[in-house]
Amino acid sequence: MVRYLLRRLAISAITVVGLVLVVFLVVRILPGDAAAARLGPEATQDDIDALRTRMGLDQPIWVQLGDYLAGLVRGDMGTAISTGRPVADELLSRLPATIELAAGGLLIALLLGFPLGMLAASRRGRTSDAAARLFAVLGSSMAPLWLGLLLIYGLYSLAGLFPGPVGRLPIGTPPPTSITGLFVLDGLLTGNLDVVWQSMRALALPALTLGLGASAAVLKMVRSAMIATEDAGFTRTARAYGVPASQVLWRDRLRNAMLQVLTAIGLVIGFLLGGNVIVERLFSWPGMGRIAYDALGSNDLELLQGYALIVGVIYIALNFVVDLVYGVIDPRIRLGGRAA
Amino acid sequence: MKSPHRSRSHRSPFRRRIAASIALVGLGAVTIAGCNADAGGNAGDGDAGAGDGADKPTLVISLDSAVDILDPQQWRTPGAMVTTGSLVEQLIEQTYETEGIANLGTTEMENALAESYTYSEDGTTITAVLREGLTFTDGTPLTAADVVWSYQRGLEGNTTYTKVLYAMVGLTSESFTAVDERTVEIRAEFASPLLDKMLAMQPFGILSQATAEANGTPEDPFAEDWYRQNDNSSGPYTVASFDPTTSIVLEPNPAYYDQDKIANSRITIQFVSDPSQRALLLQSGEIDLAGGLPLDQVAQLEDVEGLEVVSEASNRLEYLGINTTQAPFDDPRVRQAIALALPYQTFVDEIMYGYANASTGLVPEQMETHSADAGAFEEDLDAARALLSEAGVLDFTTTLSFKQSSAVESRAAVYIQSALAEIGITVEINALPDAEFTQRTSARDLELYLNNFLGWGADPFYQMKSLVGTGSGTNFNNYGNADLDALIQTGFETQDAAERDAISAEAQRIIFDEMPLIPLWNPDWTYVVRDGVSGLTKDNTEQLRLQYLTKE
Repeated sequence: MVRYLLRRLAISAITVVGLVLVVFLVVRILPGDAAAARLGPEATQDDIDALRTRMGLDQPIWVQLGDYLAGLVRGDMGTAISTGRPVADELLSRLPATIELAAGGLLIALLLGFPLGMLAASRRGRTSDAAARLFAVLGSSMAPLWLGLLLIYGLYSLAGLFPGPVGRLPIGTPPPTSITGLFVLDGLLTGNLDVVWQSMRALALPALTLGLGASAAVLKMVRSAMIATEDAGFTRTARAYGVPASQVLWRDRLRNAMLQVLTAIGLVIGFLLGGNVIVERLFSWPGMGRIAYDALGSNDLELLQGYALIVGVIYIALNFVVDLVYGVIDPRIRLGGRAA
Repeated sequence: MKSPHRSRSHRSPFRRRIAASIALVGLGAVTIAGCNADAGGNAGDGDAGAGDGADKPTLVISLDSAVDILDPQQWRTPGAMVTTGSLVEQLIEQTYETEGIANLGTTEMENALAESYTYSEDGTTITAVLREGLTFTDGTPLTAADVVWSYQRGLEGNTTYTKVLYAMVGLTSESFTAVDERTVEIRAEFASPLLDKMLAMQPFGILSQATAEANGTPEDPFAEDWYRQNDNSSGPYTVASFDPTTSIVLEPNPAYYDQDKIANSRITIQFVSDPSQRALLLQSGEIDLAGGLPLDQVAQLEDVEGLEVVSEASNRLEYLGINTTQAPFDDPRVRQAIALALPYQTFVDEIMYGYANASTGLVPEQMETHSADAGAFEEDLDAARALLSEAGVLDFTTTLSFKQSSAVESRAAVYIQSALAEIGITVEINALPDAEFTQRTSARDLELYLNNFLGWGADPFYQMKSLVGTGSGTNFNNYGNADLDALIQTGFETQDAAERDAISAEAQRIIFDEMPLIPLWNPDWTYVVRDGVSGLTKDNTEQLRLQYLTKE
């Protein structure tokens, strides 16, 4: 297991290095001059040149790369052009909001996608399977923006069941004392149940918007993975031994389907953590996606670079965790096939 | 017979592995969250006190942008400009005329931090005496030294737009002297009517030198880092809480010299990114005022009970920029032909839903010294075709660029494409990412482009110098005319109203003849408020002044 872990760790580290290089180069070839963007249109060329020198932008690309890598080692991702604050502070201050939204979306995706996928697989070809597949088609084809607008209009504007799209708390509600940055969790930890309730209400609509779409992916993967195990040898053997159908379904088939399902869940988490730009903007959710959107508008390349890097690292970390879980679930992977 | 599937020896290790996996994932999530415990949450306490005026109303508003930083000389978003305008006060303040629930700026000034404000006979030197007993929020005295330091900071710090303004009125960092604790002397190189207007603008509000000295560093002597996230107010409001991601809450500054002028016990500025959601929140009564709404929605809100649309004429100018050094646009006749082909009233009616005025020139009708004699912007396709024929330019193709994020410009581009097709010009529409658009306008390599500009102070010479003055930072047309530059500079240095009118009229005539850019329309200054809201104040930078805004 240790060798397996070290191997995965090494692969992840190499991927991170590749990611850093790609992000650095892509940002350098994007149109837009960071110095000109920081100073605005009124700046003279002398001012721009002076700032370019201070920012090291007049240096050869490999020197800039060296400076950037040295900065990363120190935890310095540069300075956000739009606010003058360190990029790391800007992004990490928004990470809890993104994590909270992603967790809410994931919870909804799993609560809906998993049982519906199981239901569809176990009743293949029946009405409930058709209904689940219809749900999957609708969920995956409806744009998050459109779904979010529908939810806001129906559940906030008409029904008044949820607060308006103003972020993590209704207007005028003070946030809880920050411990983790996750409002629901912080409310629980500090015993502030009102904040827990208000945060969950504010979280509901954006999490539904994300979760409904993601649940379709989970549903489809659970269904197809479960169907693939239907005629497998171990299933036939279990049935021949007279094992009850429910045990074959929930224990044997599900365990064997978990590898594919885990892959899908890993991708869904990655999507939820990194792909929330539209939903965060629609609900004024103060997460990393929204700041990336704003950074695009203000030509804040440093911030965009930091965003791409953090999202990339999150993906790599998720893949690493999923790989580890593979190893836990399936000894063949952990032992490199020696168990077979 | 016992099934092997029920064997504990098979089941337990698997369960342990599952449990270990869940624990690993959970640990990871908690670690990530824990790492950000300090960084997360709101910057402020989030619980704004009611301040001194508990009987005064509280307002919740949402503007077209968030508040990025609190430095009144370095903000980058309009929302931050509006906010910081209530955190600092200038020596003098513009006066306003009330029209309905709006207050519109006049050219007259009144004392603010200054109790007296006098000009020397030649108009080049101002002597201002501060009110007695002025302090910042932290209780430290506000003195003439703070005034001088604040103005010098605007010139010597990492600012850009204030430097441009100083140069236009002949001020340098040597122009300011603290004569004594309360007396400031300001000496300009020439007398200019713009000086008054400029000193009443929000970026010329007074900051605390002592605060900067306490929070600055040798590398940052003006404490620009500190002022980004903090304030020590000289204005009517101070910051109760500020979360750059969510909202800023302002409450009355207890040190402000005239507490009766503070109309509200609290103002919350909520950052709502999506303008349609801003409109929805306004309709549901969660916010009292919304800015930056799409104009089609504004038109719909006109009929909504409980809401009022405030729409006032503005000097902001939407224009079609032309690269005047690139053939065939280097021929003024081609530029004039394009101007004659455009449907100005259609822009107003179809694109701006009536919330605009059709083009009346680079110095628009509502700006002082506007000259109707310079030339009218009217569609005349025959005249346009004749000019192109005279220039020997027929049936050519060009590219029209604009910012991808602008829905208005995107629609305007289609109308322009259609209009120019009528005179044989094929236009390829080129929506550019905002960053690329900014870069390419700065590089001055776009052929035709859509852009907009607002000249602070509603000053005609500032407007002309910025847009068509040789080498100006916002003249993206490669246009230069030494005679015009000289005229504009003379206008800056002339105080006599009749002379200014004459100089301006001559400059406008040259600009119309040369047509280095084509003014398309002036979009209105538009907000939507709930009934009972009043005091929407438009100053000479066309920003909302929060100190006058209130509700019943």
